[in-house]
Amino acid sequence: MPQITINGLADGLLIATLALSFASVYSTTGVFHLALGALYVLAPLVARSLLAHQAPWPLAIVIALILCSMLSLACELVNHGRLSRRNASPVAHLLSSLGIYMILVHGASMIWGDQAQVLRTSVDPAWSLSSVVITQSQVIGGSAGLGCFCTYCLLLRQTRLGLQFRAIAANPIEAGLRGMNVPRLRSSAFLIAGALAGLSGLLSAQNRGFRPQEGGFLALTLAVVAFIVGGRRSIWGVLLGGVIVGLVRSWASYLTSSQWQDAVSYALFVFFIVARPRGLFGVPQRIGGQA
Amino acid sequence: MNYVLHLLVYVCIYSTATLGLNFILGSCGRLSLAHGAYFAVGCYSYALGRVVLGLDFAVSVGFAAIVAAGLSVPLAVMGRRYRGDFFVLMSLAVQVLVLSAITCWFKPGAALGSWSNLTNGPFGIAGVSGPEIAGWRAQTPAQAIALFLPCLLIVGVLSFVWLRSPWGRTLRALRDDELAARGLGKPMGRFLTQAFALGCGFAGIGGALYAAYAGYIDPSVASLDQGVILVSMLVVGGSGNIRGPIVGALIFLLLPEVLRAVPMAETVAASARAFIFGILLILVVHLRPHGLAGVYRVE
Repeated sequence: MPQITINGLADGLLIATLALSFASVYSTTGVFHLALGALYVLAPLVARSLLAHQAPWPLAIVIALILCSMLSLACELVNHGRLSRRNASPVAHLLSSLGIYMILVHGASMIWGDQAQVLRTSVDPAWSLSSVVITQSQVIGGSAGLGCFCTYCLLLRQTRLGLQFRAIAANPIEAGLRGMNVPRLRSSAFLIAGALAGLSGLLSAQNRGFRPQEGGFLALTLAVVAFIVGGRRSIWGVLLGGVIVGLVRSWASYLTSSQWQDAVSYALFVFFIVARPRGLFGVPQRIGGQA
Repeated sequence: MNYVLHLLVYVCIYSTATLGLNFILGSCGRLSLAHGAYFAVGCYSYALGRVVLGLDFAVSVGFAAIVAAGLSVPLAVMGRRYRGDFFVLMSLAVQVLVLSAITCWFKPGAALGSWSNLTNGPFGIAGVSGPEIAGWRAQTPAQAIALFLPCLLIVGVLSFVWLRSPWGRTLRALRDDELAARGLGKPMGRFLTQAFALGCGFAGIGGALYAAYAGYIDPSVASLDQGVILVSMLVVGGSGNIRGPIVGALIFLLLPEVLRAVPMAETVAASARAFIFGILLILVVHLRPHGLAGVYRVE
């Protein structure tokens, strides 16, 4: 029993990291950045090819994360920035982001193939504490995820950039009138999101392996579920939402079968949207009213 | 030549489904990723109708349409409350639930179509009887077209008539300015439920034709890719009229054939197709928000 909880917790922290990445774009700009799902699968592929060419692993990770940030920034510069200036609807953002997702994921699988791959080269070291086994990649994933949350929270609360993020989230036009460089702030939100999505992809690839064409979209939508369960406003809500989704999935696969995991996650989502649309830590507000 | 006819059969099948999605995106302004799931519901209803209940071809197609239309009610309830991102997520939830149900409603040893093994799970249903009418059985692609084209024509004509009727005009009014239309006394819930039932019913017909032509179905017909492809077809072709969906299906099924000129492995070719569809989708959203032949601007 505790083993299932631990596994769920480790998965939940990774989901929460991706949810944080989604939230950093969605809360500041309102863009549904679906292409993050593609960066989630792209980062391990890039890191793996670099490692195969004898690059040291810190360098491989840094290059993969920088690449993800740059791609995310390119999405904003080429696509979302233009659409936002035209005052496009969320649906237009989502459709074009879906297009970018298809380009990135299928481009990657044309280059690297679509076989299941693993990032780590040796057996995962594990420690057992009484009846529970914890693997090294679970510890790394969990602590890196928590680290991201603490850093992001500090950034949002303590720095000028964080204050400006919150300002453009509340009212981009007024923030612009008060002299903030809104396009640049939006770009930094996309940069941060890209790096976080890449990191989450690397950590989960280290934990469980990955396949290019599968997983990216599903992982991102799970992150969105976590984001909505958490309440869309607070960072710690996102963390708790991710952990809840991870735990629910892990228990669902223990109690029924692993094929029901996704269905149960979405049932949780539907339950929250219908019964408590503001999530756990949100404030009451009308959702989904805009076209 | 046979291959071209084979492609045209698929054009008929997918045009029928996109004409259905047109009611949801083009007339109600809701982007649904669950259309592939209703397509799959149509496939399975048809297959079960033929294999287990022993129904006629035409009756099975009607049965598939009715089941898919009946299952559209939850989506319509969501559509009444949400638009934009939240409706997309809701439709995704419906899609995942249908896919899981199709994959998991299975028990080894139980007879196909019984309550404990409705869908045969991951093994799919083989030996689905093909299209036939009054004892005449379509065996070649040309004969299949002879049966499917009338189906497409019926769906197209019905779409055309309904979209032009006062009913279709009210839907457009609700799509463009919900508050004003409701202020004029148009009940949104009823119109939306009807439009969703029609749209999903047409997807069910498309699915039934697919199952009849392919003869074998498995849970991959309910995959998310199917829904994404249907949405991309409609957005690229254009929505809001009946030309757009058919143009979209033509483009998405015939354009990848150009790739056959380049020699590459089948898995790479599949990725290359999706890659091109992604580019098309972005170009259309930026340069031609109403699609190539449509009228409703997705922006």
